[in-house]
Amino acid sequence: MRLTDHTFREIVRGLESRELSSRDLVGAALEAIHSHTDTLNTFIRIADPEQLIGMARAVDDARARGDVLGPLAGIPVAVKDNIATRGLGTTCASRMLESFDPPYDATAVTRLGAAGGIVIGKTNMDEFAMGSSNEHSFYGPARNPWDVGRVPGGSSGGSAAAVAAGEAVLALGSDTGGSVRQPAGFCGVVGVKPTYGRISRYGLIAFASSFDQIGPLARDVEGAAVLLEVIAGADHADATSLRMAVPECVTAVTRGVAGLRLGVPERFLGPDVDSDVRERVELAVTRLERAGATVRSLALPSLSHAVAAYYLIADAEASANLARYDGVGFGYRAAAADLDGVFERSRGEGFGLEVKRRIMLGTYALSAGYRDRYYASAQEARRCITSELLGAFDEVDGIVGPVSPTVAFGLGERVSDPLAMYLSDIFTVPANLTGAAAISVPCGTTSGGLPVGIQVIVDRFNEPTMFAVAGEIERASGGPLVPPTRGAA
Amino acid sequence: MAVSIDEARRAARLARLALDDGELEMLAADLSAVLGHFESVAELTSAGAEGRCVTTPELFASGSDRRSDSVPGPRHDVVVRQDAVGVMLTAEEALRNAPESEDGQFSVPGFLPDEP
Repeated sequence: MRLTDHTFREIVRGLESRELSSRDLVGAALEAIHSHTDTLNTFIRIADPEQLIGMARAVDDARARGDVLGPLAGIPVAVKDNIATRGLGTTCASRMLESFDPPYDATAVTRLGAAGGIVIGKTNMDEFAMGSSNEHSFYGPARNPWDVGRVPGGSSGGSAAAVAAGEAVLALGSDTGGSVRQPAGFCGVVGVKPTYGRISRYGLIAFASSFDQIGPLARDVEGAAVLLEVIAGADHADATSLRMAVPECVTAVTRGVAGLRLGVPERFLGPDVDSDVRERVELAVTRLERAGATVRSLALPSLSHAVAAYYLIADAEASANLARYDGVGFGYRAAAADLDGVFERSRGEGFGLEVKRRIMLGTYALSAGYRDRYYASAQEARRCITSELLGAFDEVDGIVGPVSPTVAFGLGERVSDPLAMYLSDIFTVPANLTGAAAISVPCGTTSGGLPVGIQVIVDRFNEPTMFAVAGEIERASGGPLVPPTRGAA
Repeated sequence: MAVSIDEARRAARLARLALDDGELEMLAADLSAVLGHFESVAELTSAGAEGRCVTTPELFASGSDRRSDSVPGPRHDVVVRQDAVGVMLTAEEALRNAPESEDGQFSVPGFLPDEP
């Protein structure tokens, strides 16, 4: 069997009726991973296959006995390699953490396990989640299952590509400026950036703490909703996790959009958006109208500052968060005769170029003489954007538009032009700046056969509306996408 | 906004990053390009804005309360956990990932001058 042959619901029903076994699922995942290793490079580390089969068998036996099982019982899940998994290593795709084995599991991983999910391995990513193409990985780039000459997006590129290629049923990623949604869009899968605080960040290696959120990836909207419900909720180990009940997301998927008010920001369908992408998104919006939603245009002028505000603040936070990598407590240590040499050379040799670039930008923006000009201005911009975007939710229930201005671009195309790479995050950073929830859903393919993602942004705490709109888009566009089978690959 | 090599060197020193001359030159150029593009944001504070941060309670405040500083309403307070004894990392576990350790402690090159 191939995991891409089934929707999430079919897999769950197949397990319940015992037409499918967890051993089938884990076996199919391992086989797909094995056959794609050289082409897709999606995983940094796979769990021991014998142990995985053993776990699957235990779930199958428990089901045969009639035990009460969790909602993810026996389902293989891939986990981004910046989310702590004890015993499986957690590298952040960096030389700095090449041999790091975390002393505990992230809360999301613990909850995944408690629901019966089987962590199949750790996925490739941009180093420390800094990147939009997965090309900034110490382990080499992951590739897009739709076209191996193209990037899978980033930074959760390995997680998105793994789900698209049937190497896992579900995956965890992290989204600081679009790092779940953009790769989901590029790989034709569903990716969620929940409300800030919805999922505990305990065990998520910090990049920019006021933006970072763990988010689910799945082939379809229902799979993402189930995974979100499993891992969300208050956690005493994360003071920023929301102390409120997790709303029902799964039931919202089939609710429809009749009576919902949707807005499309003017610049989201402006001249910077490729015509192929614009056409697919416009068609999806038309279908939402046909299904009973009303659609209006939104001005949102402050979004012109979104990329600048995001990169200045995120990199400032990163420069502070990454100060902990000093070659002393854990991580890479360079040989040096004195302590300053240990600090400077461990960081100089342990971090890749993009991480150094971000640390430099953040340090510069916070340094004496420049702090007000850059960091304080960016905070001001964040406040304006937050006020304007959340104010829009008085008028509309959701905001729709493309995930990215283009489809997946070619490997090497933007890697030497950081500004071009940063600017492609224009549509995803607003949700992170404001704490709002957002989802990326496939809405068809271009004439060139590449998937296009549409984004739905909703007010904080309003994930059910987001899932309702996403479910409608998925049904109207013909259901989950499957990448073409690639010959000997 | 052009960032000179000397300014880049100063930032690298602040960030404790050993960079070679080629990296410094490239990163100075990258920072110049990126910050040049971000100048429009810098103009926000020069135009008299206060540059105040979004605070954590603001990030968590719900509904229309969030949108105006003057409207009072329910706020999501930052919660501090109970100060209770719990199971923490043992010294052994904490040292397990250390590049070098000695006698149950992290080990680094000496940084105090020898006693006279």
